[in-house]
Amino acid sequence: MIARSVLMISAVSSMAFAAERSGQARADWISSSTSFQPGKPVQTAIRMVVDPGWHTYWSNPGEAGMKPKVTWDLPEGWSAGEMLFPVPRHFSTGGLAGYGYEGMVIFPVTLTPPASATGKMELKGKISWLSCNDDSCVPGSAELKLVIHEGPPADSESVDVVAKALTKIPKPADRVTLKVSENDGQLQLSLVSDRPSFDPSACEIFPVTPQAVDPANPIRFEKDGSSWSAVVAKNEYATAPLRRLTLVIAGKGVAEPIEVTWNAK
Amino acid sequence: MMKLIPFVAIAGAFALATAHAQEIGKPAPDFTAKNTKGEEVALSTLKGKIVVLEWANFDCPFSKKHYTSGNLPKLQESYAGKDVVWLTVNSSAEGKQGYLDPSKAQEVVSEKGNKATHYLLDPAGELGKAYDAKVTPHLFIIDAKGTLVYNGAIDSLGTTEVADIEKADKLFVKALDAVIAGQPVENAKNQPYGCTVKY
Repeated sequence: MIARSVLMISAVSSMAFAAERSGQARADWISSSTSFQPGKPVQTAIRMVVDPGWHTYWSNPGEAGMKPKVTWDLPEGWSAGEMLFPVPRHFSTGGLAGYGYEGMVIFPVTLTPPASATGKMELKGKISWLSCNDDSCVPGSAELKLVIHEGPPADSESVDVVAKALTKIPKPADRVTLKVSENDGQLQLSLVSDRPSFDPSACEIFPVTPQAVDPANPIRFEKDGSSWSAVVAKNEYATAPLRRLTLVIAGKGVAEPIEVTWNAK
Repeated sequence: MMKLIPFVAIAGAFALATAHAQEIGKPAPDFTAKNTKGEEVALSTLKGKIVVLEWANFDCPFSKKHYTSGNLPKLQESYAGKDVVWLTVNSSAEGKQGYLDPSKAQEVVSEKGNKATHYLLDPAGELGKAYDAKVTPHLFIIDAKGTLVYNGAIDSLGTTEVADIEKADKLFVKALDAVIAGQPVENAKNQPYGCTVKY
């Protein structure tokens, strides 16, 4: 019954939206430019809109769920960079913690034409995802299509949307150091920075590394002398000592979302 | 730092209180649950047999992957021939995805090709919570002595694509083959993938 009603909605809304709809969401492929120059990267993005009450997932989905996956079907010589994941939200579904997105989420992707590219191109890809609410999980997918032609730089109507989306992508942090030590199932995290305005106690913290930190409780840093520290439970599936941990730090205590990585010596 | 201590103490106490039931190497929690024919199935009566618990929700894309491909039905059938008792458990609450009305459950279970020894209906979620079943599919193995020896994923590739079944590391099958052979299970606890159990 659920599957049937989704199909019906899909048939109706595909006429109303350019974006293809399935699995309680719709997705399309947008570009900041309507044109390309041979050999020069073009900033594009996959835009997904999840129905109210539903969510889809981050690169680290947490205890359940699934990272969205994109596959490209590009002409020879064209390449697409990795799909970038913006800062997620932390939520709990049926008692299990997850990380993901509600409403609109935009995943930037850099597209690079070959030096020999010319003319008008129709590029294709496919994104598949999982959407869940408290009661159900449904799969979704959309064919992605982008028409772009060779020519001088020309902003598309999506240029601001793509630019704004890029500001939500965590950037590798300079002048911030993460240290991790382990004791009896607990992880002691410590952040040091000489950035004057840096304040992770006013930030949301998300573990990029899967199966490292117990996702049940949010990570909270507190000022501890000249550094900030947090104690979190180790993920129950992390049996060996942790070798690496990447955190996303986002919110009021940083100018822009950052990513910081610790590697065991 | 001082401020953090009470929090840690509370978190530690909580972990102790909940980490009772599903520990590898400990006796598997006993249970009684009804199958689709309305018969009671009790773990205590299955001593001496290897028991598999498989949490399923036929409408969850991850369970679907392993049913439409025939992967789970094939495993259920082949291990039945090796004297394994296979219990598929449905812990979906009434009104939630995957819930089956007891009067129609047997029909749906046959239609989906499920070949488990018993398909257990657990709409109150008691069995699911006793084992801390998190997702569908989530697999547990209990050895002939009643000890929990596996708690984890069906395989290593947490996608909804049938084509990935062949490519995946078959974690559960390896574990079950080891248990049947009387060997220790190498990766006895790992993170299962899937939809949350719809308690």
